[in-house]
Amino acid sequence: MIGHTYSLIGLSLSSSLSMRLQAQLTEVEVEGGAPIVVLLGILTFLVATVLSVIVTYRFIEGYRQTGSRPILLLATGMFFLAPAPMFIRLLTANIGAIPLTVQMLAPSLSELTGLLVILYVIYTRGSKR
Amino acid sequence: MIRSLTTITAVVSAVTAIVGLFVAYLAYRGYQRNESQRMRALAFGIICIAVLPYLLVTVTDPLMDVSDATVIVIITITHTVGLAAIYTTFD
Repeated sequence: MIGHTYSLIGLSLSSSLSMRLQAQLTEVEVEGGAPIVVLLGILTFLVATVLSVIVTYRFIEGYRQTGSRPILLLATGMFFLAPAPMFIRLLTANIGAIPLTVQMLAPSLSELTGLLVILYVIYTRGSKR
Repeated sequence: MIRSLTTITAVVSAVTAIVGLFVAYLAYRGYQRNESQRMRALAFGIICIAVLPYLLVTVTDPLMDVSDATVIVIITITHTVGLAAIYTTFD
């Protein structure tokens, strides 16, 4: 099912993390796959999230150094494209009242927003450093 | 209402992938014009973040018998590779 997998990131993260606090990994029942794979998913998700924050911050640094507005827009686009969806997935998966479709829709909308901002920058500026 | 929300989600996911492909193409054109490593890395990164995961989910999920967790790991690694490529263009 399209996008259903994405919500499992947040669900696996929240449920597995809390379960790991209570029991050893070998005893934990996690859904979506073998526990070791889920743990790998959690680790890679954390790495990707940290990296996305760092990359976005680098763009912001570039804007602060040059004061160039296109770079600011690029940083904004990067923010909505990379770190924001990760945090949205994490947040929405932990709030039970939010339906699954919204959990899948919100990150996609954020990515789309980021892409449109980047599209605007590249399209109107043509040559960027 | 839930059904229309599901359809909207599917459409938005597809549109995101298509727009991502287009933006990556523009970024790559920017690289060809200015030989800017940043633009090439951006093109590669956008493919990894916005396009490949969509293809992976659409193609592998129904067709292949891999666990959801495996797909997530593959997608997240793809994200990381794309982000790492962009990161390396900064000094």
